[in-house]
Amino acid sequence: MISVIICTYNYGHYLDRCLPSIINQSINNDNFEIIVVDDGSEDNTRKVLQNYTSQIKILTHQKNFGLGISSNTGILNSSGEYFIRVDADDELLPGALQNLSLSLNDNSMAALAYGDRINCDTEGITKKFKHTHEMNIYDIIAPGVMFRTARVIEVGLYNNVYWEEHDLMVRLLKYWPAIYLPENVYKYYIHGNNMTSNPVARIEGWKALINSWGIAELRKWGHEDEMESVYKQMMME
Amino acid sequence: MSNKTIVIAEAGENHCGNIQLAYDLIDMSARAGCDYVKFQLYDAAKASSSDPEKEWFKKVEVSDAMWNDLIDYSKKAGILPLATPWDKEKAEVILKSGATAIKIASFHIVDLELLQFVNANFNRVFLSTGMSSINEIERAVEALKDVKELFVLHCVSEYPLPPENVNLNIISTLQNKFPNVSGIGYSDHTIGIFAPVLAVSMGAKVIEKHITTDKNLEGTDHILSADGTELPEMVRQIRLAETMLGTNEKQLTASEKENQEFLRERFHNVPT
Repeated sequence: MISVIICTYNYGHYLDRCLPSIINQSINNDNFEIIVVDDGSEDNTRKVLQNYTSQIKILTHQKNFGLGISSNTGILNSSGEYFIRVDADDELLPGALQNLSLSLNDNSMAALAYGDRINCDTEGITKKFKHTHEMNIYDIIAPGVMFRTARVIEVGLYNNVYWEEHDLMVRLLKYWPAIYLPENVYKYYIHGNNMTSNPVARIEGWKALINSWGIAELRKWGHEDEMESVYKQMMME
Repeated sequence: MSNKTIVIAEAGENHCGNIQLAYDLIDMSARAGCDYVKFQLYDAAKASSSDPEKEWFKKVEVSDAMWNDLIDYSKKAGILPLATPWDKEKAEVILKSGATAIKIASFHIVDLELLQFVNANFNRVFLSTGMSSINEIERAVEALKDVKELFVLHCVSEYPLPPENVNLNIISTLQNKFPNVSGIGYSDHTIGIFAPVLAVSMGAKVIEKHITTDKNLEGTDHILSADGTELPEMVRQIRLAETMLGTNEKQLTASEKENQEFLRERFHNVPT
């Protein structure tokens, strides 16, 4: 069983694009469940979800808790051996569930499997993002990564921090390997209102991550220009 | 519900008679991945006039209308509602609300009228066993023999329950005594979340834990209740315990097979 977890906050108008991309995945419907965590939305989210009630499980937060806590709500309510987060404004590409889960099946020690993605801008122009074989966690976006649920439960779920995916990956990868699947699994829409497009929040997020882990530990898992420039600035302060 | 432990978040009277607090408790339970959120249904007017808690009972009474409201709210939040009736009339209210599951409190284990009503009308029953002898539990289980899924919950009716009185070994006694019930569980009144996790490791199939939004609120149950931080942590540890318990079979993992040859021969030759 694979659990697909969608956390949404006021992204109701994107759900009709996101949900079919999951419902129409090539694996048998009995082999995956879709859990939508409505993180206190004030838009039409509830109404849109009404059209999918037979295919999804809905959990509603009365207020906005943020992505880390919402993801944990999804994980703690999931039954899958594996889970994958899909952001409400994005799409899962055909074959993603099957191929990522096969990668985890074949690599019993791996905590997670990730693939390439297609970035799509506001003009609809798409650009493939291909990882190199040398892992850089800062190039991986959290949605579209398939995790072995028991491993994430073991290391303590998501922390409620801005770069929650990097924080989780550092905790996992200290102990367990990741598997790279060299094919496109995820379509990532960049539209200016993305949760990670606020520059002040990004910088504060890097500061918190550096304070929590130390720069040496974070550098073990890849290179990230913005993190380095924030670190440089922190050293001068 | 597969073979995962059923987790009941017992809101009890920790809503303090405040509907918003009740909603918060429901939300908290849903976020933590609990299976049920539970309330107590009673008629405060029935408490004897000499009962020192009569005024408190009046304050925290869940009216029938409020119960139906809590059901709607729970469903929206993504969690199943559950209730403990304090008499047969309230069991009827629960039945009318469409519930197929019900909880029987420890002090009702000898209430034959209630047990018979529950036996005839509910599919899934959680029976707590605080303050009772094995013989009394046997009689109650017999009275509930038509229930499709009966869970017998070890429970000690002390609030809070000190560690030396928890007596989790009774779980295996109950397993042996009642092999035909759907499972043995544990209803916890200790401080903290260790006992419930330990109970799962000993084979408990149901865990009930009191919950609160704030341990400093009025009422006697808050200090032994899991708060918004402890509850998801308890469920996380229960899930981890289930994973780690694995199977009863001795089998080599794939890595172990690889390690076997290497480690056995690393320093000296072990005859093959």
